Amino acid sequence: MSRGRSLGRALLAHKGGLLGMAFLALVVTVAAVYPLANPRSPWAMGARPFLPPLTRGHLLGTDMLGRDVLLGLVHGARFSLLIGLMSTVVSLTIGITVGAVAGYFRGWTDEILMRVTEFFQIIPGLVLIMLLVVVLGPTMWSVVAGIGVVTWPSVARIMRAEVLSLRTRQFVDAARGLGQRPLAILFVQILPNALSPVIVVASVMVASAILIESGLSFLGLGDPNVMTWGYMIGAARPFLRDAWLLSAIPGVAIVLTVLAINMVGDSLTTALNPRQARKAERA
Amino acid sequence: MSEGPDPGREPALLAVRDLAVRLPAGADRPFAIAGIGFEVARRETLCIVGETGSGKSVTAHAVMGLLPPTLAVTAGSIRFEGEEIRGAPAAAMRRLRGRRIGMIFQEASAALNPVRTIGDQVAEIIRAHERLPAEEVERRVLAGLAEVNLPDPRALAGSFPFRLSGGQQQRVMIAIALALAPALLIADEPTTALDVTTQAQILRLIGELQARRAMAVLFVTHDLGVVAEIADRIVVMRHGRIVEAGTADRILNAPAEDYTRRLIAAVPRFGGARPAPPARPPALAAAGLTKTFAGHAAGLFRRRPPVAALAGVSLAVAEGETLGIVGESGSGKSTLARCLMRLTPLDGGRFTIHGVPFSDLAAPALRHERHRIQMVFQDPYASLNPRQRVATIVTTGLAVQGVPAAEARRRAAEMLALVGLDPSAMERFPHEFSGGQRQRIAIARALVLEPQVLIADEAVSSLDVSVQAQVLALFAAIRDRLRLALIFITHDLLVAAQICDRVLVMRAGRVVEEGPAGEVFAAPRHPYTQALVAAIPGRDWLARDPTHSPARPRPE
Repeated sequence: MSRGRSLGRALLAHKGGLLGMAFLALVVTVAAVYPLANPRSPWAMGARPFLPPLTRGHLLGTDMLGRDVLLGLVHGARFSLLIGLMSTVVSLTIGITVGAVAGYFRGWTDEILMRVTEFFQIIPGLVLIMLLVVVLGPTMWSVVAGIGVVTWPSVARIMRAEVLSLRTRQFVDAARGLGQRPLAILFVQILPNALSPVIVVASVMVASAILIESGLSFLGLGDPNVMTWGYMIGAARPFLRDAWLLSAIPGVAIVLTVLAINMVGDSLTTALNPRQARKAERA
Repeated sequence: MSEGPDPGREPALLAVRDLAVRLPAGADRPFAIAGIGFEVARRETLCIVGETGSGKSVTAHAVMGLLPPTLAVTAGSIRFEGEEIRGAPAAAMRRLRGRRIGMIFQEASAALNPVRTIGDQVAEIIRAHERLPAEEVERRVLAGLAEVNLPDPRALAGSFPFRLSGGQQQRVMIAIALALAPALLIADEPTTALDVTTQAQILRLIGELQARRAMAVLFVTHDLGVVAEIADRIVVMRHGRIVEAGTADRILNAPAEDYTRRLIAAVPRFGGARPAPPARPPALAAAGLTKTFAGHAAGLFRRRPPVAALAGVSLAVAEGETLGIVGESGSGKSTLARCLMRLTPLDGGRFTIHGVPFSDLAAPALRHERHRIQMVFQDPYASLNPRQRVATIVTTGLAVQGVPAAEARRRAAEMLALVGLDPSAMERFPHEFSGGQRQRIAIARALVLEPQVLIADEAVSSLDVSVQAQVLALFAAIRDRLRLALIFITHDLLVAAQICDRVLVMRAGRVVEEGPAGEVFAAPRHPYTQALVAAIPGRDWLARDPTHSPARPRPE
């Protein structure tokens, strides 16, 4: 309890983290509320194309097909964040399980799981995702699965290292002496102590997942039914010289969001590392 | 509080007066130390003795000008060789440290840089203070290593710290501290991490060097036995203040203050053996236990030879009996505990607990029989999961046995009361407790399963002496009340003498001597046991101390 409170205080003491969290809260709120106020589809072509920003009824103007840019941006925020979060969940689920099991059981289990991990690490990530999306068909789920499959090895490696050092602690021996089952020891005794570095990596992973998804959409491999920031940039690419704002606006959205998530990740690193947290409180 | 001038003594080399160090806001008291005053003369050893949090280390660091930035000296004076050094500029302090004042710490392995050779690290301090040709530096390095009785200084100078034993590393630290012949040596618990025989050698070495160089020694320790061995004068500290100060003879044999008396009374000592308990059926019987660890890789193709941690150990403990297992580090006593707990698989041998062939049980049966034998670990800071509440920690074992949650909570609360903790402890986390309280939680966790055998692996060695006495008394009480067979593993012969009925002396995986505790320690037969007993610091003082009544902690 006191730990939770001091973690909160350490997070708030970090100005960058506070700024990042405020920005993310704003993005989430707008993404949740704006479509309620303006229930049109972001794909609806209701106006003249290439309207400049600050036109009446179209705050950020319209694109080459007359779609409202602000509406696209808001729906893009929904799906970009959603894809970022979901693919991180996929990646954490695989990575934590593989890393924890490999680190705790050692021996041939460890050997096999680590060779599999290396197999995924040596394949160029973007190529594997593109392959998966092409094979599975371009849906949001295949994009999420692809990103998750490519990013879990780093989680697994961190997790394994943490578990390797924790499994020799006396409280783990004590639990074994009490007769607790190995999987219970792993999940009840070890995991809660091993999560700090993983949480930090996860926050950065949300950001990189958004970037990967944008890259895929830019290449035309995203879900064609889902409006994302990457799609908006990609679609506006032929008009880069005439209407550069159409690419720049979603681009800036990506930059700011990724920056905010990284800042939150930084402050988490500091807050979860007691020595740095104390320094931050003094400063 | 400081003493009046003593005409028989040399003028003070170091004179500290009214020294105060403020703690940062939010600490449990405003000052780390306050009103500290003492003097150290040449050829003299002043011991600062106190328990955890007494401010003894802060005092030593303040003299060196090595306090962490959060602590600041707020009052008082520190005069060294007649000059005020409190608040001296950093450059002046750097010239003083190493050259006029040497310092050694508790963890030699942490103080030595692992990636640089021993010779390099000794040479560094010489080069930092004096400009000398390389040959002269090398000559001095070798002479320094020879002076601390290290074998083959030339080969040693070229090797890295990990090749050295703990005792050898501490000798290197002493060589570094004394490389420039300082007038004052400050030693902060320099032997606490060492085995008792190694400790005796290091203490003797410091004494010899001190006599040869007419050096003053300021020795910080928690161990009154060590104090009795080496001190000329003693300062007793508590809660950042001096309780009393005086000559070693006066403080140790006629303490004026109540706290000092209690501290001395809490020191465990020989002579407390209780009458042999009536013969009872054995609770645990083991025969021919063996365990060999494969050698570590040494280079690409070589391996160090395998280590026999247990080479045929047999033992038996009866209900209500305490068997002590004593020995130095590497003797295999902790491996024995882990094998009996079935945390480490045995290579050979069998043991039974109340007739159950515990060593042969396979996984599912083992889980159901685990309650028969439980263990209390050495470090109460490492043996409790920091993310779990005490209630969870204590009830986990019961949950494994299939006890319903409400029933488990009730029994956990009862057990916490038995070990002397408030029921409100249930909802708190381990970090909210002191070391002694944490060890009580660990004891409750083990006892709540109603084991027939309890193993205590160095369970009191990380505790302050007064807390240690309380926890020992608790062990004795629960052993008698629950008719436990207690296996008490310790490196500290005095602790073993205090609580054990029989002892087993181990060395390199073998039992070298076994017998009733009183007999083994009073008249050891094996040379190794004799060496261990002879190395106990302050044993002459402990033997003659009049304030101590030989009553062993025996409640009820």
